[in-house]
Amino acid sequence: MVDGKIMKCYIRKQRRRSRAEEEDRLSSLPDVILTNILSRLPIHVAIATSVLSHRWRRVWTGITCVEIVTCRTSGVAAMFDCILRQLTSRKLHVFDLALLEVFKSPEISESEIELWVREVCSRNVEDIRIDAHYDSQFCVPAILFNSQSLVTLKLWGLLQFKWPEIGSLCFHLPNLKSLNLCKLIDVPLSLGTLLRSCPHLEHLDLDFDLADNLHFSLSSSVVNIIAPNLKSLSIHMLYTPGQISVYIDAPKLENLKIENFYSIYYFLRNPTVLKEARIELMHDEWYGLESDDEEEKELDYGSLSEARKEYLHQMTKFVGGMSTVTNLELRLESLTNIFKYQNPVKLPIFSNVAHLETNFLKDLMFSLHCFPNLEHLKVSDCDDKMEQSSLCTPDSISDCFDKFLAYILRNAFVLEKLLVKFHMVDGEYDKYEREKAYAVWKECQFCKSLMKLPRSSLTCQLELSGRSVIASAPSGITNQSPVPLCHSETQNS
Amino acid sequence: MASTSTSTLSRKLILKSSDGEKFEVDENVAMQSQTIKHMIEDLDDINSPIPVSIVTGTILSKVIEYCKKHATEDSDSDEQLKQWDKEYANNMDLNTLYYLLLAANYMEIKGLLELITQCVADMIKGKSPEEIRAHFNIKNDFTPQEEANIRNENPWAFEN
Repeated sequence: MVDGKIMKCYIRKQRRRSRAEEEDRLSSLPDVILTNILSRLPIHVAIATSVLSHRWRRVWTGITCVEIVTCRTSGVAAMFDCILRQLTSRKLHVFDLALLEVFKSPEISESEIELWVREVCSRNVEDIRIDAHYDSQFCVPAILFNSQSLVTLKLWGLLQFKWPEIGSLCFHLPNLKSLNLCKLIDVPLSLGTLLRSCPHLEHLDLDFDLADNLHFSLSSSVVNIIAPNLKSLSIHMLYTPGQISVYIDAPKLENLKIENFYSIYYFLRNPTVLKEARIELMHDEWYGLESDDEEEKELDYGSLSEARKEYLHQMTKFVGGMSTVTNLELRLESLTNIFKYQNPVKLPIFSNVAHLETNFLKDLMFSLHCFPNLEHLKVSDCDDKMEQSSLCTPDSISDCFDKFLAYILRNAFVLEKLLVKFHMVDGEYDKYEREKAYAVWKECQFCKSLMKLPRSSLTCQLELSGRSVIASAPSGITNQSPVPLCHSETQNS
Repeated sequence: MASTSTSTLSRKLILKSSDGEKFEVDENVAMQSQTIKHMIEDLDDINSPIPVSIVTGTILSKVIEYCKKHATEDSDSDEQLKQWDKEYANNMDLNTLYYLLLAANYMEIKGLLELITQCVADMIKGKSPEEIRAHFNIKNDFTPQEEANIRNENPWAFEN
């Protein structure tokens, strides 16, 4: 009997539950929650909910984030106009537009872009993101840079600025905090003016792609970045058809990232709170820049061209202006190596640098005194010259490398760990068993030679890992033998 | 009043659900709710239970589970926390999700509201209107003619 009662109760509960499941609770949620949900969907999905039921007829019109993905080639302005007219919110948080290869076809005109951008800007948008497809040209309308409400602006595409003379332009972005332009195919004359009209700019990301401009002259060879509140700045400009001068005046800068070759950078005022700097002055192999004669010659400062001397002089001053950093990453190549010991311009002492990452070691031995409080040093991707030497004389891994490691072990008195990952360059590495065995033997020899190096630090632990050999030596022990990684293979040979 | 200005370190608050269940939680856990934060400011006696009037005990315990996880700083990486969020949301049935939405909205817990609205949005994504109706038990109260008219207002939204 009791069981029966429990059963009845259970069935009743079940029924109630299944009825509850059938109930349409989603529709009974308040509008504020439903528009929140629909704001997270691409606009066509949000609009499609209008046919669900009477309840859903107009819910979508309350959304505050508009995400449009379209591959239309024409009528974009009319479509936006139609959408925006139906939206009830006076203020939009996000306008996110992705054009899927739209601009491959010539049908969409500059005036049409301007038309819909004007429409979007009239809605007090805080965050505008336009992805015009990475290899499609996009004429940026000047009207985009005239907004009281805009806080974040991101543009992707091959950005062109066909603007009238500076005098007739009016930029007004009083609330803009973050600007990302990727990629600029020219250096617009009015870029400096534009940046000056954003007094609260905190994050700036400029990505230039000037390779196509090789045979044309740039509109300007000067970039002025004057931003009193800028905290992070990133400039990517791998190839430049001529020398470009970049002037930076951003005293509150905390984070700096530069990937560039050949342009000269200047600080009008040195930043005083800079914490992290990542400076990569290397040319992109993509453009097949032949290393010229200067590189082949042994690094004699005196024999450099005047232009090269001026470059090294100014860039030494520029890097020297970052003396407050704690994290520094410097990737240089022969032509841009400001650490060449013959360079008469002295670098200051970087007394805060605790982490340093570089790709050169020969000159580092002569400049380590610039980093008296270094805690972590990472040297990676050793420069071309070294690899070449190891190619030519496979019996010894670069002399310079040995010297550097010996120097570190001898002079680092509190070193806790030295980790060496090496990769011996050898033409026929994997082809023949015999070669393989030789490579393993070679790596073992290298490990042994490293283990024998005198260590000044009593607590220094050594960890070596090559392609086919690993070895480690705890502090104080110097005669540990290296272990081949692939046992069976070495036995077979 | 005096007690509110003393050290905020691991002070306990009592939350009371609509069905009278009481939960003792750390202050920093409860403070993730803007609504409770404002209530505490006006509270004379910190030891009296704070009524969370529209939230039942079952749902409140789930809300507290979320707030507890997000109150402890640095214990998990962002990645781990995201994973936890995902599992938390995936373990809820539709009914619980609705109540959580109402609770997060009422208690003003931004992170939880974002998590659950995104979860529901993901359920809508990729479905045709018919499929959405079926999934959420929405009754179509339009005549075929009415529905066709609405589709014609924004025809491109119904392409493909």
